[in-house]
Amino acid sequence: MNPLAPYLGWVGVWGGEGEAQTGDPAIVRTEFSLLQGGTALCMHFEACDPGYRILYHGVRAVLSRAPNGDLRGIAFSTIHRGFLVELTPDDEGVMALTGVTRGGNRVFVTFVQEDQDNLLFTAFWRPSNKVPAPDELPRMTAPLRRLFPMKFEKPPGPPATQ
Amino acid sequence: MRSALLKRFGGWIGSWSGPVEMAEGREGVMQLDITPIFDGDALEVSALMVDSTGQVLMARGIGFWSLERDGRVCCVIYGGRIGFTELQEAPDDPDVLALSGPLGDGRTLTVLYSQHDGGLQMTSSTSEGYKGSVSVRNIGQLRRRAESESPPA
Repeated sequence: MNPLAPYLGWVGVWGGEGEAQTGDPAIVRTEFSLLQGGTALCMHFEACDPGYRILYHGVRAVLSRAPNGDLRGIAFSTIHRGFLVELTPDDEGVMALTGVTRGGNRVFVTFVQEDQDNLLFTAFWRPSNKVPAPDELPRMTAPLRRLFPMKFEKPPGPPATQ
Repeated sequence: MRSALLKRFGGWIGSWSGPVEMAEGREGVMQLDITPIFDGDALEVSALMVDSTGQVLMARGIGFWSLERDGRVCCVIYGGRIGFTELQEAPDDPDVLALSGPLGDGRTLTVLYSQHDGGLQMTSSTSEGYKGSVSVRNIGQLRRRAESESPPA
């Protein structure tokens, strides 16, 4: 089975309002797309302030099948820089990624599919040598809705000439 | 303001293609795309190698280049045949980017990029053991892809 198959339905653009790790409001935009002939899945993530002036966090990750068949990935984070990510086993409709940064933090990123057009995003990090994080660790969360292109009854264009 | 990464590699941004000689004597065509992300905080480098017919995908890979605090390039990379690893910049000539790192099976992957005569050469090889004997080598001689100047018929 193609390990990307469970996430092909997520391809598209998602957006929502959430909360940064600092507790500040954050606007989130995420795009899932296929790369290299459908052999890799790209996840592009941006969280910024409501005024669209400060990028709190940007992440771009590419997931693909490792030679052993597992789904793994590379990621670049504007906070954590480049690191490798693993897909951890989880329920259907969940993408749970984790990886250790060069700075020694373990990063956790989770997308939970609530229905066809809604995802719940959560991310946090902690020092990698610590026991599993308690629930009270600050985290970024955002409910994401699929963005649909606006529909026009008639395509916009120049007025018809007589 | 341009990032330090763009100041160094801004001239490499774009699409490159050209012949590639692969291990086992196979030949093909390589396409390399270097794209800045997050205002030049990193570069996404994507490579596809197809056979001379253009129908068979021989190899593929993608990576993110970024700068460490000491100014060296750090790269996370995956390749369809080699899997996933992190590469670090090794000292080399100023116009050469030499990246090297371990593969999971004990071998070392080395990727060299150098620009000369307006072209970009990429060489990747794996080596194993104390002597570092090279076991696989791919060489791509790439030119910047140009847009057709004449409009489509």
